[in-house]
Amino acid sequence: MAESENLDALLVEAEQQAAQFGDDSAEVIQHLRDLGYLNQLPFGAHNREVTLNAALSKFEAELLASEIFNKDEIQSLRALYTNAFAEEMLRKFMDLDEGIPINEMPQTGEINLSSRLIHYRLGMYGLYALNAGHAFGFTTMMGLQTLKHHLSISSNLDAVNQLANKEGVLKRILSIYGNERCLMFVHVNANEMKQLHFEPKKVRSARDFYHRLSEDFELKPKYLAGFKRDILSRHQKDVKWEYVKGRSTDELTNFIIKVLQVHQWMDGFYDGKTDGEIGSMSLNSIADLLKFYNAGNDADLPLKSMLYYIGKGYFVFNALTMINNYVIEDAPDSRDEDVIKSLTIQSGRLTESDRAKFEANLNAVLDSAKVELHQQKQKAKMGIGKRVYFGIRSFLKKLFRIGKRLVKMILHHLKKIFKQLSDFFKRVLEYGKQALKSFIQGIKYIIGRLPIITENEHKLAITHAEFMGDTFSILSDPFSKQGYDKHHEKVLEVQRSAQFSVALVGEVLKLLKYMLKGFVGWPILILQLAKATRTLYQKHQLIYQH
Amino acid sequence: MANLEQAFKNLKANIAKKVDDAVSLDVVTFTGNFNIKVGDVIGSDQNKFNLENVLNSMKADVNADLKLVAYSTIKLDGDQVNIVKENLDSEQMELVKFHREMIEASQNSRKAIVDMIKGLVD
Repeated sequence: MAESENLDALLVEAEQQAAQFGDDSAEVIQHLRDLGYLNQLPFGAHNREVTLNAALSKFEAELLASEIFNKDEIQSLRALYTNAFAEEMLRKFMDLDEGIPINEMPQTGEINLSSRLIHYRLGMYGLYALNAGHAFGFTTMMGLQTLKHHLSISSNLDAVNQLANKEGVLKRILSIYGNERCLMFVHVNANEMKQLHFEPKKVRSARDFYHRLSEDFELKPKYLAGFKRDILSRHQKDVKWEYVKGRSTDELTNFIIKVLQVHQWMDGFYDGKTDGEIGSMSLNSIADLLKFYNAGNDADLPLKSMLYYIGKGYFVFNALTMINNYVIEDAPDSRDEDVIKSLTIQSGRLTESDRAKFEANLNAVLDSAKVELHQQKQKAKMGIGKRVYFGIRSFLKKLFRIGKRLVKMILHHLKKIFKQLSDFFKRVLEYGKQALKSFIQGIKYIIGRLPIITENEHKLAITHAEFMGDTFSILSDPFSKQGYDKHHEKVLEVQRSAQFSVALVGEVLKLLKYMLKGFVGWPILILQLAKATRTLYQKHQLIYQH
Repeated sequence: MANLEQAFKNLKANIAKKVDDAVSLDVVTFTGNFNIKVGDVIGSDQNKFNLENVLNSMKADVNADLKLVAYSTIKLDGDQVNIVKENLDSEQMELVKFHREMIEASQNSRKAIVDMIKGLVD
């Protein structure tokens, strides 16, 4: 059939891309570990599977018992995510960007989904050091007290739910403490100093630091003058060391650093613990973030304008630019389509030689991202890798914010930002995987390749649904009532999934007019799929309410 | 990349063609005693459902006894024709119930396609 043959090229290419993503168990394992459902996995494939399934069953049982979602909602979500139900639910719960609100505080001594989530959230902000699977108790309350104090919130429930919205946490800090607290005084010990990717003397420009400070901060001139005299002094004997030491060890500074570390971790720039200690890793990640920011925004913000080495291992970091950027990410933005259009037009205008260079650079970044992603997953499965953030909201916002400059970045800035770009594409690949899977399902449905087969007591039921809805079923005679129900549920599940996929294909087709105008690479298609999937996530409730 | 672009173009054209052809919605349910190997259902391509193979396999199986339970065709203007087997016992009534549920599911699928087309035209 000619039309199927034509679609085969699309399906083959999409499936080849999807096959490179690998399995999802690494993510599930990380989430289950973080919630205390799973410790070390035993050796042997069978034993590993049994242990993993037991942890998943426990999670699902606690999810049902928690009443965070009612039964109807759970049923809809199950129908939507089918085999990926547990993975998707875990991802939603673990998100610190638009995380699911907890509806009730646990009682002392209880271990349930809420207590685990509270421990996980507190732990991510460095306020709880035990395993999340411990009972809700005194240690939890200590963490909650500190949190409520820093965020000036009286209710335990509100405080813990605030942690599931990281921009909200920053906004709250800014509104309570003002800009001045965004000047972070930090101490780095001698060993950590050796690990820095830059020389401390290169970030000792009082003029550059002060210039940025006076531009960024709406501070009183008196404060600025005092700061220049007491902190940015050329002579170390004139520095007010007691003030510097005091500010570098106070609890609030420590908490704000933890909040920034969570943001940097979620952006893929920070691999260390969110412990509030701003060692070499944190300072290096600030330098990396700045490079990426500069390349993505055609800006030239030098590190010395945001970081100043006072001496004796003490730095002062102007975190306001970074904080403002994070807060901006929370603002609504509907320019996704513009970004895709602009990207496609730009790539279409490349000269032959630039196009070849773009393709070579892009492939190099993608290959590196795929290899790293694979290694990262292997390590995560063994519990030895770094913790990976799987949420998507802020990432997508960042993606589309720098999106218009992606072509330029890949073409001209590759050497400078290769690692960051590779990390960035790891996230694109991860998110694109979900979009691509739905897309493949949609195409298969359209060309009639989704038979629904149910076997029950050695009897068979087959239903074949055509693209336009025509349905052909053959059922063995006799076929038990239980068999009918099982088959019926399966048909409904596939058809709901297919409706979703068909809607996704529709979204992609709407963007075709841009794609067909010029050169288009898979990353751009993935951007389109990502955008389309996001739109559909908003619509899916409508489909599943019926 | 050219193939990919062409494939997308074809996809759009094929969708339009299929919608033009779709003047009615057909739902058919059979029952019977039959033996089908999994290989007959999916053929050599694991992704491909091969209806022809299934029917050929039944033809080859002398014991295969395929009975129509119900056939429904629903025209675009809303006219509906239903053919349902006579003298149904309670077990076969379950089959008719299943058939009705398939009609509802098919209509929902059709609606999804029409919504998608509307989205493309708008």
